[in-house]
Amino acid sequence: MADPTVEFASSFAGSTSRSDAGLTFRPSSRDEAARGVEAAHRLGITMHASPSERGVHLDLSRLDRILEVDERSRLIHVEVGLSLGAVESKLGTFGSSLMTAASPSISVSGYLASGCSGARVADDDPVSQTVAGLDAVTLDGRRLKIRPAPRRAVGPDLVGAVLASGWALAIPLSVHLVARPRRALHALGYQFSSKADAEHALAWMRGRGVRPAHARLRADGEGALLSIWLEAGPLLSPMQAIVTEEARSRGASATEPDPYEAEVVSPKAAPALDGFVASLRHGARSG
Amino acid sequence: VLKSAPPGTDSLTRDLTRAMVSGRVSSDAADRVAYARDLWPRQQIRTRAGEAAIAPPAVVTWPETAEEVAAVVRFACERSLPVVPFGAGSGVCGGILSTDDAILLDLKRLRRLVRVDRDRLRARAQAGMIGQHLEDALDEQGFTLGHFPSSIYCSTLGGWIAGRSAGQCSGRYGKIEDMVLGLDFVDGTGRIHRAERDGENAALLPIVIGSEGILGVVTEADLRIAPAARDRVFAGFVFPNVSSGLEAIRQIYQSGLRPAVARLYDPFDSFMKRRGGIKRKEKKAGPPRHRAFPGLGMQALVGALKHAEQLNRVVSWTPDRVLGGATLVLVWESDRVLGEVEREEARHIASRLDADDLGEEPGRHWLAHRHSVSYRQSPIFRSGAFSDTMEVSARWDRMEALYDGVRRALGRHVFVMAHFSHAYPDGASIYFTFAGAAKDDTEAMRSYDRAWNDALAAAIEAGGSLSHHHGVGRSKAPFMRTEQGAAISVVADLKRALDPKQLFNRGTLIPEEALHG
Repeated sequence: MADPTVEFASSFAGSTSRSDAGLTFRPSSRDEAARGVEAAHRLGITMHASPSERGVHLDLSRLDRILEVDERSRLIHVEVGLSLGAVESKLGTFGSSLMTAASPSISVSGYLASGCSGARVADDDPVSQTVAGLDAVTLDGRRLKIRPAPRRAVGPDLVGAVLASGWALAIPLSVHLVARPRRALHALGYQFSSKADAEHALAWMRGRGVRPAHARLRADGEGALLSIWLEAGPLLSPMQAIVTEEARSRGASATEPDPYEAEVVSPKAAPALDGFVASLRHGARSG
Repeated sequence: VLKSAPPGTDSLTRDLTRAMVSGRVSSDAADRVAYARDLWPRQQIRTRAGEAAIAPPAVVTWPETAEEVAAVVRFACERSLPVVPFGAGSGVCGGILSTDDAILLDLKRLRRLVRVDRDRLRARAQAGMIGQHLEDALDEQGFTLGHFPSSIYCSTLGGWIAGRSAGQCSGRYGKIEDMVLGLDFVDGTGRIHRAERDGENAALLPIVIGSEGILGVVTEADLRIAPAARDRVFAGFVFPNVSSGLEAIRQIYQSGLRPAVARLYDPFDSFMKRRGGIKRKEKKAGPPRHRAFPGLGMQALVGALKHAEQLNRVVSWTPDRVLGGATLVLVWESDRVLGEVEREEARHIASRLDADDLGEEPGRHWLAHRHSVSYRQSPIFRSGAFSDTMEVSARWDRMEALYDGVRRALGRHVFVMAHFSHAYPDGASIYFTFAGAAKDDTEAMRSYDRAWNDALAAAIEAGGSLSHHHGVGRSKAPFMRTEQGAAISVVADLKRALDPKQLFNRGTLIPEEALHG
């Protein structure tokens, strides 16, 4: 039986390379990426996010353009091969930032794969999102374009579903990221005697209105270290008072917080393919 | 006139009763009529024209457990019978229309607050709980969900989740999708699934939330809760115009302030609030008066509504300052000190935009009357007119184009007002209220349909979304392809995967042809 990757490589000759690790496809545009995913589907080839002996490694690093900057809405539309550092540079020109603890050297694609690790989470500020829209390609090559319109009620949240499912549902090619005002951060650290106490304290800080830029809870022997970063500005003082009150009421003592940049950003484990996702993949393949 | 139940309904009722532990099944005419529609205003026009039972199901069931829901779905799946999940029937988009062979699942007997975790600020509740009952049960223990849609007395937790509902305090607590940490649901084969935000089946959670009952039946949900608000902070401002009011909201949310409530009324809506709502003295307590025929005032209003386009023109020609400007109401629900600091910041922003400070009164008055407006629709329909609301959203740089475009499109057919009641750092929603009248119900229906079609097209054209929190139902389904493109086929895939026999709520959310595409 002929190796289908040979046909794939000849169809995308300018954007493929072969090595000991297998075939790598580095599309130069989102359209080419979508065509490649569709061709792979048609040929029965599996696309992988990392080099693999079987199938094709889809490398999105050439998708590195800034597509749109909407200063008024504090949105930036970028391709996923761009580094977070490049995104930050552009946002900095109008006083904005992603305000994430993730490393500036990782790509947007890697950031998404990590579940946007280091970004403010929904529990910290339910009103603010991290990703407002996207352009993705489904595994059978259909283009999924969700433009930003906050909190729409037009069926399932496909942006959330695509991000939560790794590459099981669709592969993001570009995203609309939500930026915030660039502000200095004030770090607080509290040592708790148990992880549960730290979790309860954090829940009540949030419940009383504290919206940390970032919070990190690290189990530490028998106890736990809660590190919290609050944005500088007029809200810092009242939020700091609530944080201190909730921590002390659970017997915590003030200590050095974790370093902000220490956030480990690694792709989340691929979601387990339960019967649902498997059937969806099968459905997509069988058209 | 209710059509008689289709042949075989008696045996269906008997078999279904046996399949359920509680045996709560009915094919009585009264029950079938009661579940024959929701509150889609288009159906109210039809009802007024004499068509009371628009889409009655074959039978109505009242399951009491998730397992019983699953049993009913398995029963339907074995016989390929349609299933319509039903909360409280207060949807306004025609989302739960049955067919005469359908089994209707009324979930209101799933009505328990299962548990409250005081330490982690989480609660688990069954999907059939009426919103106010859920809020009361949480409040008894000192907590709130923070979700206050104006339908809170007549909508359920499951309905909120199905439609991605928004409450009046969305500025701090978010929408329902931001509050749900996990849920259980029954798929179209009768399997019970669990989906959690940071755990099992995480990708299924955003798929089921907002699926309007076409992918599964939600039976229970885990929710983020907060300490109940006991000490709110209020503010009110009047701006020269909508633009400056919107700019204030944008700056407030982008600067990190989170008033739970931020409502901006456009100059005419503000004028009406002052004349008829906010400043009006309380009427004497007592039962409301119901008239068989409209009074003179209402007759005059209906007469004017027949010339809606001219009426809109008069309003648009009236300078904003004559109408008194645009009113912004802000309410905070966090620790008092934090709320007060946020209010000071909001005052600075408003002041830079030439707003006059109205003090606490508009906010306090709004809170006291927060649910009143939702009960004014009946007199309008009784008088021969019609009314409806349309809620769309867009990012900030499209907001004024959306406001102008939709207003212009609606204004050709109906009289239109607007307010802005849900804001985020990247955009906001606009809530249009409109009313119209015609010489008879047939013409009223035509006028109603033209208004909606033009307005939805205008919303898409301006870069907005079809809906922010009412959902799609059948009313907007024909426009979904315009907004969503290929996403429609992905939702259809999801339906085929989760509901292979396509039993659930057909016709809702996605156009029927998308399922065959």
